[in-house]
Amino acid sequence: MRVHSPGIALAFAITLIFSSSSIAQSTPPSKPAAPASVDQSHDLSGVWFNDHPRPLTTNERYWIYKFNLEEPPMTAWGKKQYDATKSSFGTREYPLAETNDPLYHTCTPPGLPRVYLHPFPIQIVQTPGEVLILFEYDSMRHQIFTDGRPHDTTLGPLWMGDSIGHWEGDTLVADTVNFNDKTWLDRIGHPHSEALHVIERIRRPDYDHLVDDITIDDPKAYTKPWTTRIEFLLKPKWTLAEQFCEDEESFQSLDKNAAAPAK
Amino acid sequence: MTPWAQEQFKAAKPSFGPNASPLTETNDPIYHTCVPMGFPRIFLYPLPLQIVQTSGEVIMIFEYDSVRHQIFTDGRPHDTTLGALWMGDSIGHWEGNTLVTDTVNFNDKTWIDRMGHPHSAALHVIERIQRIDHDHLVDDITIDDPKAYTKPWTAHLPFVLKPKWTLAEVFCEDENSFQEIEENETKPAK
Repeated sequence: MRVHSPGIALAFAITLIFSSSSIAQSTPPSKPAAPASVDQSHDLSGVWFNDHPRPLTTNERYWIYKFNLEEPPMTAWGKKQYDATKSSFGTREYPLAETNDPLYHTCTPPGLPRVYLHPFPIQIVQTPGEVLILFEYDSMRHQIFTDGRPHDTTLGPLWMGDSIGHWEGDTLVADTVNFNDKTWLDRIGHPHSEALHVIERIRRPDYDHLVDDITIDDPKAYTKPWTTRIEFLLKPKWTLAEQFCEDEESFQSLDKNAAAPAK
Repeated sequence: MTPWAQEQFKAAKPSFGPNASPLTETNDPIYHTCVPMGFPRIFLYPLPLQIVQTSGEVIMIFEYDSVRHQIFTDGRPHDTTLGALWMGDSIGHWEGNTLVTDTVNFNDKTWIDRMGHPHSAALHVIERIQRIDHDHLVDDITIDDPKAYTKPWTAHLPFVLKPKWTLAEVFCEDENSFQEIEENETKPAK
């Protein structure tokens, strides 16, 4: 995490998309964009960091590898997938040489919502047509379109899914589908299928706090939807550092920063 | 180029262009691994970028690997505590309607472009970015690297607005995402 004195300003933002070539891309169904102004009463902008107390033992800190202390309600299929996973830490850890965590031996994306479990900050940038969540972890992004478009059904299965959202009062309700099945749901190996449907309710109860209530709805893997809550603390002096999975040195620089607590 | 740079350039074996080597022989750092291609090379990759602007920063998000070029416009100086970075450390200020950016603190693990032109860790990139009309953006990029180039030189990158596009997922590690782009190339965008 980079620390700097001037705070991150929370303000109106505009989004422009540019291209230097005519390579075709998948586009959303054309819907006239009707930009609304960013309502300052629900501005989620800023750099945020997962807000948990830091007890001593790894096993007490379940939130670094799974979402809830209690086990999620897996189907028979889900349980079978879970039994085959070999995570590299947590309560069922295997030696690194034996882990089959898809992230460990490659630098493929962690997927959603797993990315929220990686202990690095996020930056939310909000514009009239989208809420963009940037992750320090491997430069991932979670782009939630709030301009009224439907899900894009022409997209193939995605690592981070296809996200749209709308406001209910001060809460951003984000809906994500179109996932591939190449990721774990969390860091200990709980599964999901391509039918995964993630609903988030994101709100800012006060200036320094953000809450994301995440519902996992995947009938193939879980007998019923279940919910977890992630809480974030505003870090006004932080900015996202560079972090590229392929570059081991970027992880080393983070270890040095861990010894010097950020302000 | 300086003599040092010419030596680097001769040793480079790009995978295409007039000096192309076969893929098995290329020593392009991004070909055999998925390390970042760095800045400003990322501009040469034929995928779109998205600019998001707030009062304190201008963020360029590149479709390729979701890499960010984050330009802080809140008056902060360069952060000298940072180690050498792939994308450098960028600050900027407005001169009228032109965003002038200044990027330093680069590592030396990337090529300037796709042909193998080199740069050192002393690379200093200045951009002058201007939206000349609603649909057009221009980025005049100056490469200032006394170890590699005998004097600064400038490139002119024009961009066209794509109001109906959004950034797709493109991850270097996932070969399938590149195949989708090739399929999409046969369908011209509106």
